[in-house]
Amino acid sequence: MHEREVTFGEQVGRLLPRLRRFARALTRHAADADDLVQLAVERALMRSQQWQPGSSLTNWMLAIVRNAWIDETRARRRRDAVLAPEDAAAEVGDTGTERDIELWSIQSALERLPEEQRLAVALVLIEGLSYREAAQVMDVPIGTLTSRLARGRSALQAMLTDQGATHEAREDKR
Amino acid sequence: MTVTDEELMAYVDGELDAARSESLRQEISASAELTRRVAGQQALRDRLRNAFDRTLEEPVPPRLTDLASHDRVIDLASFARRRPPRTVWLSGLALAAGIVLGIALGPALVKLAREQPDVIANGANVAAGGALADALSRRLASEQSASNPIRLGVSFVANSGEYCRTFVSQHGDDALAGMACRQGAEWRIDALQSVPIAAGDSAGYRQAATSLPPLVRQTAEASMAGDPLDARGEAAARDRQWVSPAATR
Repeated sequence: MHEREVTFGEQVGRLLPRLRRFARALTRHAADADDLVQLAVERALMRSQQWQPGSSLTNWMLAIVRNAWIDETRARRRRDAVLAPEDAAAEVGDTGTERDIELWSIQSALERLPEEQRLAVALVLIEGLSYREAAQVMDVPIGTLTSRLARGRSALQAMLTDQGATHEAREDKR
Repeated sequence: MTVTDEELMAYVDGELDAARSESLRQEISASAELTRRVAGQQALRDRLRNAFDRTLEEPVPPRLTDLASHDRVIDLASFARRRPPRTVWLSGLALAAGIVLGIALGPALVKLAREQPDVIANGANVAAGGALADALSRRLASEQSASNPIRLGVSFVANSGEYCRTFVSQHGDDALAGMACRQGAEWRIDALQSVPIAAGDSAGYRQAATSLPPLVRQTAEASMAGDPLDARGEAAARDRQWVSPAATR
């Protein structure tokens, strides 16, 4: 029987959970993250011929998400339509579970990092890419990546230590 | 010797070579200060990872899975869902006469008829012939190669009950995008529009295959009875020689 080859779209489809996770690290609004993934998948399907079989499709897709995100933030800055942080906080509401609150506080901290540091942190610490891979996705030399990663990490550490303390205090009270 | 934060991070990330990693491991175990710093880095890494891993378990919205499963026909699929159908319908007659499309199509059709018998004018109708008819009848959207000048877009059941397919056919520096519907043993062409491509721009051509020109897209949107066929539905339609599902009812 003839076995049908897995189409390019299907291969991309399998990566959707990971692409969504990466997008959620870049923008904490779930709907924005999905819009970003949609844009990236549209672009990827259009440019499927540019992907070199044998190379990592995951990293190629992450780079497309990253580029789409940069385009999007530039356009957004022009439109001056960035949501105020207060609006985002309202999304969580009072119904958030402990895990929701944890994700939300990390996303808020990430949001306060400069764009390039956030990308470095997301690729290495959340997506688990090697330094070399992350540098390729960001299209920067490896030294640039490691310094952005170090700065982003230190800033996050400082921001989250306070929140972490309150987080633990809340746990203790139970 | 002091160990920099950057090196500790590289240690936690598994980026140091084996020898340095081992010597650092020993330094760390001998120093409460280093142990504390490494634990801090490790905790941050774990915390980020754990917080975001839950997003992997969330169901992926259908709009994203649909997009990927329709592969090269995304534009149309998402358009059909977003927009109410518009009443743009080009009859074969209007098309053949070049009335509706005017100069945009007229020269293209003439050129096409002259150079390639892919589209044949037959009285009131314009039908696909030659390689185009062959591709429309036999080829699935998942079976295309970049080198083939005819690319198939989306297949769907039209309001008329007929099976219809969109395509882009390249002729030298010109490409024609169109929509054809199966009528009897023929593929009747209901919309056709030329797609300009820069010389040597194969990416432009590929893009044309994805983003249909407005006229073809609108015609397809207006005709589409439901969602485009998925890969399985398309294969099933081909297996029944594109005989209208309405005809057998």
